[in-house]
Amino acid sequence: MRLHVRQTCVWHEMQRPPWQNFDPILLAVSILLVGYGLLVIASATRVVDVSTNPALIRQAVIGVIGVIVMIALSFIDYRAVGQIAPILYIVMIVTLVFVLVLGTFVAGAQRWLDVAGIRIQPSELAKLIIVICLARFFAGRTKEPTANEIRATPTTGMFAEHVRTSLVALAIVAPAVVLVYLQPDLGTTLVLIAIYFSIAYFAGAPYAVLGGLASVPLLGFPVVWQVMKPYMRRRITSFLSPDRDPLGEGYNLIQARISVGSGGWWGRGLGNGTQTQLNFLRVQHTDFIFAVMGEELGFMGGCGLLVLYGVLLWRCLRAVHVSRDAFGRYLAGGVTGMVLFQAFVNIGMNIGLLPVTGIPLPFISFGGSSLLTLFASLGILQSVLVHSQSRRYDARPSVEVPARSRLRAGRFALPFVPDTDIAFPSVTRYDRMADPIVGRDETVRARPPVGSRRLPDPVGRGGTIGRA
Amino acid sequence: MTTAPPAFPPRRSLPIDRTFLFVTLMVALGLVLIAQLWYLQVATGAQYLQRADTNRLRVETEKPLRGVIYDRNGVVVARNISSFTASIRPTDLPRDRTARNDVFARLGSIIEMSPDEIGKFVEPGRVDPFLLTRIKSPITREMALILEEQHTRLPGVVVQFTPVREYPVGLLLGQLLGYTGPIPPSQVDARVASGYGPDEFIGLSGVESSFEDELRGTAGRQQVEVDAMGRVTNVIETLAPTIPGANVVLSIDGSLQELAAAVLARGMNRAKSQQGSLVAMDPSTGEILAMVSLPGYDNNLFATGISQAEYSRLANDVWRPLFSHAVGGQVPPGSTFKMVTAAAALQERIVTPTTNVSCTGSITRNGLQFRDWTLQGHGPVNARQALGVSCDIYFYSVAGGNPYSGLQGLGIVRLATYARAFGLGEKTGVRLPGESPGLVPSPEWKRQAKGEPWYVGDEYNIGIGQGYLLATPLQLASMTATLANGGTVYRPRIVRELRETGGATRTTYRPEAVRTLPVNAEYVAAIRAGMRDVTNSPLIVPGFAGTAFAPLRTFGLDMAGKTGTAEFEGPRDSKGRLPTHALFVGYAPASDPKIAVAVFVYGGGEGSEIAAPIAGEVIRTYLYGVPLATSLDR
Repeated sequence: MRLHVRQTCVWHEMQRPPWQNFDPILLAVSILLVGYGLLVIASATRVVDVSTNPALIRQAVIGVIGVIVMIALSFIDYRAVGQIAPILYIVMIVTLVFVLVLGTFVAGAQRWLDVAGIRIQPSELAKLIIVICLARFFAGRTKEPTANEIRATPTTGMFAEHVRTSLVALAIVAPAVVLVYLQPDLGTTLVLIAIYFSIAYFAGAPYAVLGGLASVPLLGFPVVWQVMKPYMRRRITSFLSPDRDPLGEGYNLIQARISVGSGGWWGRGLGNGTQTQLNFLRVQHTDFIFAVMGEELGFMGGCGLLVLYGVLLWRCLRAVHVSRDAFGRYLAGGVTGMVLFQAFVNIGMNIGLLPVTGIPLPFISFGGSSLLTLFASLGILQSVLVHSQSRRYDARPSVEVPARSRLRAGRFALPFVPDTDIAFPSVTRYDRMADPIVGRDETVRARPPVGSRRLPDPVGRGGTIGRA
Repeated sequence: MTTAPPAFPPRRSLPIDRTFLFVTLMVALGLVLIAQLWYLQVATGAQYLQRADTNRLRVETEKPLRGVIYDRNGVVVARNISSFTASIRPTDLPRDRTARNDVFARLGSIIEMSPDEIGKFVEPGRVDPFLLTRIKSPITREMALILEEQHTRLPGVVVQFTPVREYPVGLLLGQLLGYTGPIPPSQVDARVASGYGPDEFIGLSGVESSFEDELRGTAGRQQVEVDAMGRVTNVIETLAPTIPGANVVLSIDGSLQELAAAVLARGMNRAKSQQGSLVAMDPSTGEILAMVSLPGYDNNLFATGISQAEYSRLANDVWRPLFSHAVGGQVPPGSTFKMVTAAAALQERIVTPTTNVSCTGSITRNGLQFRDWTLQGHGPVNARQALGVSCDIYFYSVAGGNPYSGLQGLGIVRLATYARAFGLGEKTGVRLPGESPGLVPSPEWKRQAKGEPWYVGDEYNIGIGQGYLLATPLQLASMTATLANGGTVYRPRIVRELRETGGATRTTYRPEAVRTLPVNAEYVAAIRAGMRDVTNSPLIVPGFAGTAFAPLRTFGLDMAGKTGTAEFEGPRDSKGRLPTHALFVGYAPASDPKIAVAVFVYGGGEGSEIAAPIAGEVIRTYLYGVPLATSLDR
């Protein structure tokens, strides 16, 4: 018996089956977030009896489906998903055009498609597809240098290459951005741009390029202002001075602020917030759900949510860190950036720090498309964790292949560079199993040889993008 | 590929780890959020809590139901019926323009108005967005029900239940009861300061106006919780209870009023008169039993909102139907004033009850001839006889002196004192709006008003109730009641008591004696005897019966009275005589009076012929309930 136990342990150490890399904390925290959201949605939709609240049931059912999707996706190798990225991209563009032509109008915006009685919001799914496409593009342009190369290769002289790569990536996002903007959906447009910046950041785009791109809308503000739709301009002016039209544009900003402020330390109790329960606060179970939380659960409730997001983002970043190839890193980075941006902008708008943009609060706001997309994103993140150690896609040492031809090449031409070859040039199957990088616990990570200590930098520190 | 040998040493300053930078950014953003949360919820939370309360708490005033008005027999003469008003509270309308127009269109289709019309009512800047703006009133009950049913699709639309007045007897008590309506612009500020809502209705005329405070009741105030649509979700605290207005019981006897109106109308018709009034009082209490002023108006017209055309028709009518001539009309009392002259002369010892004054048909004074109504003269008459035959010469003499017998007259000062003692020349203090004081002239008044000195002729005229002397029919009724009860002047009262909603008595108005006549009982008795002769004596002096004997003979009443035929400036008739108003005052039964009546018929001719039968019929019906087939055409 004893022996058996011991043997089991040994087997465990030795085998490290891939599913052990599945991150249960990520799963747990996302379920906690959805549960927290359900609680607040229940209050915002005046639930008396759970079984008769359609919004609550819908959200809960989609939450369950989401968890299933997440687990299912974690079984699929993310690189397989990467392979169908062009198809996904085309489907996305076609769907977004479809929305503009045939979409359902709700409150003046054409953002929804009614498919077989289910109303879906394709722009939500577009976020994930953009993450996949951009991650694949940047990964295709990434050459993971060997230990010698990083010592040898000067990073100078590559700037033009970096700019070109960043702009091409921008061209990939641009059609989606324009289509979503035309719906009009300012919130999702901004999220798409945030995803772009986030992946470019993790892919090692120079700060000058990132800063330069970010400053374009600031410097060109007069032009942007002209391009903006009237409702967007009103949102900005009302954000700057909500009291100028307290019953019109400024109304919800003021009411959200009152709702949050009246919560105090511990809130007024679930179901007891007068702002929420008496409808002074509008769109309370979607965009302004954080205000409900602030009113009814107070400062502590709000901080609790921030802690949950903190844990979620920590686990996402860990995935970025642990991923053993560029594609995985960029996927995880994109998802992390998306969640961070959405959470910050939504909460910021609820508490009067940012103008009103229709960005849902991740995992909390009522809305099936958003919730499913988030769970699918986490599923892909899990897939990165589970599968990045797999050598299935390592067959082609594609570093040598020029990027452009690689993009056009077939199934196995994807440029996934085996990091392991850089860090541990002579890796056996046994070694790889023991490789702490893909292990579950980084604290026992074996130190690589002193000279190559920083080499397997997964975050693109030493990597270059562009054609090597 | 670039696998050149190390040309450079490894970089010393590596770029900051991007993950680390990302974490820093994350923490920084988190801290920003926490700082703002802390600022909103902890640092300034109390302020926002207060603002949240301001959002949801409102003090609502609950308007009390206006009191019902009954006649003395408990018949409802003014009551509340329900009327529905469609209103909009602009703050609760949708912000979005198209959604707002949707609401207007939907509302318009229900209450049959065009959406543009509705939109104009609530244009921003035109009305206080927090107050209800009346869109259409009244709407039918069906419209109100549909609006209530669809209230979720009509944000901002409120159906108000507004009680409006209904006057079941309309025309009959129109002037007396008056009507309610929106506060006139000139009064709005004062009324709002004393607790009225700017859109509230107040009594504007008649009893509705003079008993406004009693009828209105006390508005209750409640602190309520409202939702964003402005609907009350919860009553938190009652700050002041709603006390419904008191029910008012009039002293008016509805059936007597109806009869009086009919009889007066018939009498006026006979005399081809367009205006007349009648006041009946209970002499022992001062309660007004009937008060008619013709022409009148139907106050129901005002209760439901009168049309402009209808209003100007009423307001421009020369006979002034909106004005109650019974309390506000100032008329020369004519011979009905002679009791006052007699009382003054007797009390001032100008004459004794047995002193005879010789009536030769006229007195010439300072070259002016003052005639009796009959040129043949009555011969020697004492006070009682003089009243019975209405001898002008007698009253000229006691008022202004008689040059033939050397009788010293009372003079205007003493005469005026007694006139005032009877309540003439000043408002009686009845609680009705629009009362006139009448006029008891004095030399000073004449100097100021006419710029002329006082002549003896003026005294002669006053002595027989002509000249500048003016009195209201109500004052004449009060004067008659004073004589009827033996000398107590009661303040005329229109309301007997106030009752609670349940029927319990809140206030009973006791008879209020203003003063007692400064006239000895024996003199009053002599005057009363003279008044009794007027209606009952077939022969007072040779050739003369009581002035109202002939017309009242058939009534078989034990009543006392005095006729009056007062000249007024108007087109003279073919014989060059001035036109006359017909007056009659009287009471019955003569020994124990139960009712005192004053009748005035504008331009009615002879008081005995026109006014006396009217009074007789009213009194007979009141005392013996003899039914009449006449009724006022309403």
